[in-house]
Amino acid sequence: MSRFPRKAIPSLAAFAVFMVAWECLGAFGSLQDSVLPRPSLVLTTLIRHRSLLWHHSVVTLSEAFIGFVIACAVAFILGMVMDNFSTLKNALHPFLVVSQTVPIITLAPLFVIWFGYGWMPKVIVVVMVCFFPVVINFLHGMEHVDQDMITLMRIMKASKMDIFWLVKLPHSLPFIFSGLKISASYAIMGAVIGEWLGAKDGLGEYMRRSMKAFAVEQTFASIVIITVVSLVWIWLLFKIEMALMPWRKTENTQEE
Amino acid sequence: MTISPELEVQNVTVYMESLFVLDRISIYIQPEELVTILGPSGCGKSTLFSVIAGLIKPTSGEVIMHDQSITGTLGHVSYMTQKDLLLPWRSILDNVSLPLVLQGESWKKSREKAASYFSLFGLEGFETAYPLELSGGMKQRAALLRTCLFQKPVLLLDEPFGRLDAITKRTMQNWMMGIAQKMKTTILMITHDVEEAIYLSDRIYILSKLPGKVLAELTVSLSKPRTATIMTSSVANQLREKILSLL
Ligand SMILES: Nc1ncnc2c1ncn2[C@@H]1O[C@H](COP(=O)(O)OP(=O)(O)OP(=O)(O)O)[C@@H](O)[C@H]1O
Ligand SMILES: [Mg+2]
Repeated sequence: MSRFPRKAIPSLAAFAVFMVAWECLGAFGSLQDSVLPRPSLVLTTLIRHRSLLWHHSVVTLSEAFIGFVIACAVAFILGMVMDNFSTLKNALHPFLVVSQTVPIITLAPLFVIWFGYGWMPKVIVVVMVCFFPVVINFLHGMEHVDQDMITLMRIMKASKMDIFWLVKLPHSLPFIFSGLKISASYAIMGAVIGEWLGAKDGLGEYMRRSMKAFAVEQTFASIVIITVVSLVWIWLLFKIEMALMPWRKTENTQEE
Repeated sequence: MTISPELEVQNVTVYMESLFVLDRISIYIQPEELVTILGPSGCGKSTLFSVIAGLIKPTSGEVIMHDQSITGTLGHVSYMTQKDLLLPWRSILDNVSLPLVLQGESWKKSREKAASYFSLFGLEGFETAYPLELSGGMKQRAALLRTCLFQKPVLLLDEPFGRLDAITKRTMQNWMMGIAQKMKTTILMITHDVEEAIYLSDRIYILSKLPGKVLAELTVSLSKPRTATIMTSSVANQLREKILSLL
């Protein structure tokens, strides 16, 4: 793990070449900084506005994170309950699936009307967009559990709870995590879009101000932050996933 | 019969949806006996075990243990299914401790108890390994240990050596006969291997093609412990001919 993955070198090199080319094109005047600011300009903006950006990032990240955590908790509990009561599952499952086709983000203005310009509507948007991928994946995972394993647990007189904790949940973990990774990128997006619609602070609000002032390098600075934060978030989830599922590591090494 | 049977299946008939699977099966097993059920593939052997284990309620008939009906109730026998079904996300030690934990024992005590059997079952050193890291024979032994630790008087083994290569199979058979003698267990076992049935059994039930019906009950009068040489004895040869003519 500590050694640098060799496969990453070409893509990193490509990224570096791309950046240098971009910088050069900007420096020789082929690209206007008011349209596509040079990477160095974005970097200086990041440094110049660091305390302001830090403040806005903390606001956005808190909204995203709180919403994400609430969504996960609700998804977990609902998934567990729905799996236990098949009538409830049959009743709710179609709605869950259909609601996935509704672009939740379009509901955001409603929440602003109902809950004003504070953190609340943002968190609600985040919860709404994060919730579905997790619960759907969780249910999907539990549906695909090996029925023979459940039978084996029943032979050993396991209770429903035992079966859930020992078989269904561990089996569903990879499914849950692919849901979580989708939700993680939705979370920040949800918070930022919530802020676009009106907020006192947050990266979305910073972007809106930059947009009004035609400060393209500031908009780029926020894009950079959002991208980096999303990547770190997903990387963390990946690390947690690895730590929670040590048996999959042996699966991978056997494939090599 | 002087001793009352440990387990008795009386006139069990099973229809699954419209499929006629078992036709009035009656079998019994005495304490410390090793009885095999031999029959062609798909004749309902596993279904019969599901009935005995209480997973399936028969259309008619009873399963009796110690003079009490256990028809359709779980938890009276230790049952090793055809697949090893070790939980991939748990270590071998945890997998094997499972029956004890599910009976209300703490994980710590269950692990201690289970670990004490690891050398007997040829699993020592693999306590913390995951099932994926084990060979087929080891997985089978782990599944067998887990079954034994459910600690019911009768062991049902559904083709325990079905997926093993010939050499591993013979080693495992010898090893199991040793274990069975040491632990004084009563074993009812499914196989579709004639040699295995003769080599291991005290008695053999031959089942017909679907719907499964008892065609014959044969006593294997070969002395124990058995070795490979008895398989060429005249008793074994006669049995083999008898079985092959029935199947
Ligand atoms: N869940 C089920 N629903 C409907 N039919 C089934 C089901 N399980 C098994 N059967 C059918 O019942 C018959 C008996 O199956 P069973 O698994 O008991 O056979 P078996 O003797 O154990 O076969 P094998 O030697 O291949 O393990 C088969 O013809 C099978 O197709
Ligand atoms: Mg079978």
